[in-house]
Amino acid sequence: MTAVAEAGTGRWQVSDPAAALLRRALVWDNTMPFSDGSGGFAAHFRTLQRMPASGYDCVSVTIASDNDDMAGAVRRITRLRAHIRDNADRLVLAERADDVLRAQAAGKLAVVMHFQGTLPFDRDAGLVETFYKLGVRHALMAYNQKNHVGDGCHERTDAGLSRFGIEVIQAMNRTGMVVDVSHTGYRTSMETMEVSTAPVIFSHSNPRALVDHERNITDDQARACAATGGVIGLNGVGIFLGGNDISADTLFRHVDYWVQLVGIDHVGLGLDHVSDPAAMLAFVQAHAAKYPDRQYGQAELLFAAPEDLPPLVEAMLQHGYAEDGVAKVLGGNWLRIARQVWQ
Amino acid sequence: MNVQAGADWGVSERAAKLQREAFVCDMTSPWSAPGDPDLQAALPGRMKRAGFDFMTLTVGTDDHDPATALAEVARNRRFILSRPDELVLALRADDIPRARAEGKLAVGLHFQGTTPVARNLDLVEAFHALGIRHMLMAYNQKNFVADGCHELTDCGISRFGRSLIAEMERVGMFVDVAHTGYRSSLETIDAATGPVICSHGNVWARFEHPRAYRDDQIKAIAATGGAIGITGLGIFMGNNDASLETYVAQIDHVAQLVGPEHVGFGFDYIYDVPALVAISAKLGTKWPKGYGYDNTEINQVEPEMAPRITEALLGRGYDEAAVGNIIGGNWLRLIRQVWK
Repeated sequence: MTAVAEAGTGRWQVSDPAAALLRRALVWDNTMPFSDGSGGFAAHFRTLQRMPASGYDCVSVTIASDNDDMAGAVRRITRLRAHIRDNADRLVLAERADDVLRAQAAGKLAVVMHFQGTLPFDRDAGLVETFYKLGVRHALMAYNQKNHVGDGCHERTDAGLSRFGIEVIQAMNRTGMVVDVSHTGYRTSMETMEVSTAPVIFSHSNPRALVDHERNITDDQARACAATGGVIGLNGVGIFLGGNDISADTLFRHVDYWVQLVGIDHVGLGLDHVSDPAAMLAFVQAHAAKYPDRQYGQAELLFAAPEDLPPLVEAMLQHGYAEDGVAKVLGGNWLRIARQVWQ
Repeated sequence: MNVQAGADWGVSERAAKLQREAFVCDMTSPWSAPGDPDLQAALPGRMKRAGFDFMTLTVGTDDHDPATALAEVARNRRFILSRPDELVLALRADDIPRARAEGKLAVGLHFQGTTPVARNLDLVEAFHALGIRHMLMAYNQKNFVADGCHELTDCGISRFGRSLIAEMERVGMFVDVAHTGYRSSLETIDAATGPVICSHGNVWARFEHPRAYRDDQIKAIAATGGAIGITGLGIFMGNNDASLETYVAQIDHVAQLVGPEHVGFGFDYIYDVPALVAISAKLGTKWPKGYGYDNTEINQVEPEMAPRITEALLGRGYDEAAVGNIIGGNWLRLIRQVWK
């Protein structure tokens, strides 16, 4: 561990077993927004710097989304790859599952890339393989709105997959890119899980049974995900957790709901921590078709942070979770998916 | 362009006179399809010699993003503007009579799809300023706005789609439901406040093909004051049947159903069939197998058949006013109403 991380450990204010577990376990957060709308590269690079102090070993960043076309996605990937190369003393670009373990052993942060959307593929499923080569390891089908593949979860329609969508999923299965259905509409998500021959994940989605927000998913979606061998990532956005409450108790309530419903092998972290909440709020308010008022009408958006992880570990232990179970939630389950799907 | 109109049309003097005097308009030339540039460049002259006063070119599709569509618009503006003795870029309704008075052909521009504006509503006004006068909602496949008519799903339009329709109406661009799926077309008509067109489609009641329109869709289009342009592609009208009788029967069906004020030409004339089929046969998500797209000898209504269509409509008992509307008057009326 680096000196910074050791100093951070002192601030965790958790029990010794919780601190020891957090230090020992592989910690992998599968969703960190990286768009300009959520803060811009400089702010996101600072967030990456903070993460090891909270025990993070691996983070997957949203390098592009349904806001980006193919060229824009390539430019953003190039920018991040250069940053990782320039900071090789503390960052590792994770292209294989073992890269994550090597980064952990070396006390570095492994960075994975993903897309929140499929627009960077344009209408050419051949681009899936190209972006995989550049480091993109998962992509979600449709971000809130309708796209060429299917419907997003805030769309006024709820239809299934397009012909092109099926081609994309087949290309992802063939290539080793993980299929993600967070932000995706109900029917499109269910059809995606039928079509995919590899595990499908909800990279960052909370239970609709606890909070009735369109970004949260139903029990049958969660069960269908687990049936593929997939994993659901706990989301730390206050309005999805309910009442803008990002306390450890609330985070635990959501994790525990998934653990009770689908089992500890199918739950992970996808905290969705936004580097610049004020920028994000302005972006949300400026894009009503993407973020409908009735679902996002807030004066302030609160996001759980990497620093909120130690208390969550403590809460899981206090509620009687076994250490190896907690370790699965912290990162072991995402590692399993990577070993199984990445090529 | 020196036109000895009627000299070689081989129709009655009554039909030739109407063909000369009416404003004859076609609402779709699939111009951006691949093909021999010489065949492409020859098409406007063929249209003019067949008596047409207005044609409109597809200069962008759902395959284009804003940047590539812009390049295509610019290339084709140059094509038109570099032929000032023959062609007039049609930006206003009055450009059509003016072109004819000068012995020229008025040429409009449109998109077959909405992907050229991506998700940026500001681009609607920008493309309108460059001459785009209609956009269809979705070309065969699902896009940000709607489902296409060959899609696996048949759902309605998106939130963005509703905003887009309002913006198109505001700037003076036709809302077009050609190539669009059933529910999306009806929801588009529902969302629009003015006339909605189907620039080029066919009649489901005469031949059941996904590119054809049910009677309830035709009635809904007519109820907005809009019109449907009939394509001349044999694969949409029957077993590759592009005969004069079959084409006129399609027009007649619409005219009998909703009146002759709501039907026109939308030939969709492919200037190089082998070149297009070579592409379409490989793109099964856009042109699924089993619908005739791999037919290397697609029959189609040739522009030169237009005078005989006029004659055949007169022969069916439609009067001069009705036939004049069908062969172009309806489109000109709608252009005057919608274009800004």
